[in-house]
Amino acid sequence: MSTTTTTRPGTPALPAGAPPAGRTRARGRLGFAVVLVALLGWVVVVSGIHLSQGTAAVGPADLWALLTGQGTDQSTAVVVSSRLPRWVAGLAVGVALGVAGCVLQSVVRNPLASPDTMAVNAGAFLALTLVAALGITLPLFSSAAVAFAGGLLTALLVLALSSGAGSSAIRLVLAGLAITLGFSALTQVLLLLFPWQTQGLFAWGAGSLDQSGLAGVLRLLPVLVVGVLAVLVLARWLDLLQLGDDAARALGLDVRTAQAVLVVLAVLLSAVAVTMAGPVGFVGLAAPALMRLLVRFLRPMRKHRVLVLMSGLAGVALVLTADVALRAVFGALNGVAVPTGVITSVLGAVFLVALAQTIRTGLDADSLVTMRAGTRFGVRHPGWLLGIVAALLVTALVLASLVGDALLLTGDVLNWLQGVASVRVEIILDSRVPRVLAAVLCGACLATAGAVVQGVTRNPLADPGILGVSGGAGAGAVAMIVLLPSPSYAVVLGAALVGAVLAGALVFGFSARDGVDQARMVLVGIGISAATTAFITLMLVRTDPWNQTKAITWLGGSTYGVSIVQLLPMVAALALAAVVLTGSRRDLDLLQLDEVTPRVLGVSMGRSRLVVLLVAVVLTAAATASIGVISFVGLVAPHAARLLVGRRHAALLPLSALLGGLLVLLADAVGRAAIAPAQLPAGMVTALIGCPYFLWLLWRMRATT
Amino acid sequence: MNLSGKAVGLRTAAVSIGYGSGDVVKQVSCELAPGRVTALVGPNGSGKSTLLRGMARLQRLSGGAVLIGDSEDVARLAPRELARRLTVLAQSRPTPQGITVRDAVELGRHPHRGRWRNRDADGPAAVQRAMELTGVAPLAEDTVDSLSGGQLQRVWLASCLAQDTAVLMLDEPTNHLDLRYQVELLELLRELADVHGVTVGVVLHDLNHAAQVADVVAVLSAGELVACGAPADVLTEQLLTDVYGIEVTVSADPVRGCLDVRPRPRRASLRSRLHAEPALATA
Repeated sequence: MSTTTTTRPGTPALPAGAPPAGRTRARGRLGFAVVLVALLGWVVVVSGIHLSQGTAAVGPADLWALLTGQGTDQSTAVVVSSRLPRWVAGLAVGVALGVAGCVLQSVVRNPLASPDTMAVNAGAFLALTLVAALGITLPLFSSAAVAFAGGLLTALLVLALSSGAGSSAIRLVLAGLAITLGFSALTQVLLLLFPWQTQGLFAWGAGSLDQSGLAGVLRLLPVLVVGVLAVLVLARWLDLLQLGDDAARALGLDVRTAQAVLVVLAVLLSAVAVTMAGPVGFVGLAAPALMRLLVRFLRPMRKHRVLVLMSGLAGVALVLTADVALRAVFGALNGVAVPTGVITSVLGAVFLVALAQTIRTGLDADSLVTMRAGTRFGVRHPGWLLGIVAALLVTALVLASLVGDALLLTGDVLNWLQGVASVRVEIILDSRVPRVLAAVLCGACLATAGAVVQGVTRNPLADPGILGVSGGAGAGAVAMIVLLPSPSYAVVLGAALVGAVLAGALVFGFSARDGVDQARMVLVGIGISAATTAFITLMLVRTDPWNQTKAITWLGGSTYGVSIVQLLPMVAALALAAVVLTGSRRDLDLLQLDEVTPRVLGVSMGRSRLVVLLVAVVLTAAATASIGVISFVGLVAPHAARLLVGRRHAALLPLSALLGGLLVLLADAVGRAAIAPAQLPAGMVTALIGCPYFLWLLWRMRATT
Repeated sequence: MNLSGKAVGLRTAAVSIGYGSGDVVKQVSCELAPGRVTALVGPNGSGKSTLLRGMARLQRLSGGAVLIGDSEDVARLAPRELARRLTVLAQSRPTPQGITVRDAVELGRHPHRGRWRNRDADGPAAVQRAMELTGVAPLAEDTVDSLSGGQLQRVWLASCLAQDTAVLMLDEPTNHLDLRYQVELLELLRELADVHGVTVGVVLHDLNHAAQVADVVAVLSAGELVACGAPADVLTEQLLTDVYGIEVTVSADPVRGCLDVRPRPRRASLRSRLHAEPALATA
């Protein structure tokens, strides 16, 4: 590694390192020193608080005594065996994530790169869960290797999907997001299928600093130290890479090798962090990004050797602060159970939303308009097409009520409809028919919402799930389920509605500056999704373990145990949508074109948008409150409908609803039948279907830009 | 296309428009005379497009008012009501995939349709007439994405004509058009004004186009209206030299029967040095 500096003697001075005029240089150094001291001071103070927090009565005074060699045996024992491990884990995770994020951002020259946005954590988590589910027990070190392998493969997948001619900052995040969603669905499936083998992984999946002793941390520490040192030695490569591939190559750098080595190092560091504490969200994004803000003012930080170190320090400060805040808010006892990653995710989400306001995006503004739409048959005979799909849906409805843990015959269903079925059939169908209907209604709600949001925002990637509206509804609903002893369905529904409206207002509000910027909207949506996911995890972890499987099932979007009453809100929402959207169908036809055309043609943009978006939010809330969070239906179904019938909303909206219903119905049937008597939530199945589609869409949009 | 038959004018009263820092259009008062063609000209960044957008209510005014017909404030009209009286062909229009030319032109009927019902008695006739006037009728069943830039421009113009408004505004409509369609478009604008009594306001880059088509030329410079009147009165050598910062020759073109505006080369000697060939140098 020492070859880095020796192979290129006489390398011309980089712009980054160019000597500035004497006074500015001095000022830069002074400022840097101030920042460094402040950051270090912050870490020391937070560490003090961190170590004095806990269930035992060991306060700052005892800590001081310990430091000066006058501590009692008891306080020493407490600190060494319970507090130090958590603190060391915090240090290690902070450094690892801060450095890894900084390296990734510089290597791919993308301010949004990080272990989270590149799905490294999701990949590592999936790999670990897979190994656990298969019943292989591994020593800590090997599980780090598993996490590393999973993370590395995933990072490479994301890079491959987002690289190429049209690569842009946002594309990387979107690919990472899709992979994260898809992998999370897989992980959840595994957690559900193998509840005993994977016990403890759910809380871990949210990122917790809780350690059972120093041993585990210490064993991984050498890897961390070697990784960070290697990055520091190779930091000059990072400096060179900032000049662009060609310039770096001209200066004698083997660009591909350098990138590969650095990505591997960054993933290694993330894997160490993930193995120690689970995915502690967004530290790897926020810490380096915060430090990057200072680069402009503090010259010494222009060198990556310094920037990497500072990012690591900022990572430590973030993680420890989050942990301290967490335990301060929830108390020492609960603080043990609440994962730190929840807090950092919320912080990170705020950060992502803020970043979205400044980022320049590279998605084609007309991408929805320029996407292919309409088959010849569909455009000429939309009525026929609708009829055919409706017939398909009815057939599927009947078939879906036949399959499940017990197979029935069509005659059974007919008998049941006439009320003359046997008791066995009656019991089965009484529970199965509401589920099947719920699946159809939920799919119809989400698909309609997706079609409307896509049309209004002209964003082909819009989906209530991706934009965090479903997440908001879910957070509201889960809050009621967890906080109230036995909330009525109306209360849950109301909370879901409030959550969805809040999330929707945030997403559409933040992205509405100068019209609706599509990429910014998705970015804000990702932030909101992350925050709501963290919030939901927080509540689930705090609830008693008995509810956990049920809660995961609900979160995954399951029709399990749905009653007829729960169908009513969806029916009502669809009826409302039918009325409002029939009135707005022609406005929507114009709104999907551009900003100017609808105004020239007398559409009052603000009001039309608000009305139909509200309808979309209501639809999403109703579906989420009944079934749970289902992603990708609102994305896939409208796209399929648009391809079939064209972009006239009079035909597009009903067809989307039918296709959405069909999709969730099939997903639900597969989930019930595939591994009967165990069941998979429909939402997980749709995520497994929708994730590849989203990636394909992203790929396609690259081709047009 | 003005079926009501009565020409309707549009005027601005001390209109200012700003994008946050300072006004781009400063206290402009001018008029699109009823049934006439008014050309807005000026250098890049003079605010002519912004003024046009402001008149069409596509841009928020920071001061003043836009009045239509008998001094009705445009800002007070409902969007749909305004869209029945005034339309604008904006500079950039989308190219939606998978809709036919007829579909695109029919979009212009939107303000004439009810929210719930599909009925639009005058619709088919208006669409057909608009397509014929712009020469896109033979393309009616083609999809929009198969058209050339010039054809697409005419389709969107047809969409504006199908809207059947008394006031038509166009933002640099000759862009993307080849010579023949430039001429045809200008002739169409004259026909709309002369035969159908449509009030036309058009932003033009090419001063010769303005001289050829306009009854009234309004010259903007740095957001202010510096002259407004008949082409012969406004397009003077002195004024254009001042506004564009380059010497201009204005002569009468006997063939076309209108003014001919030509910039004088800034440094003739340089030009002859650059183009060594004698043929080019004398051209």
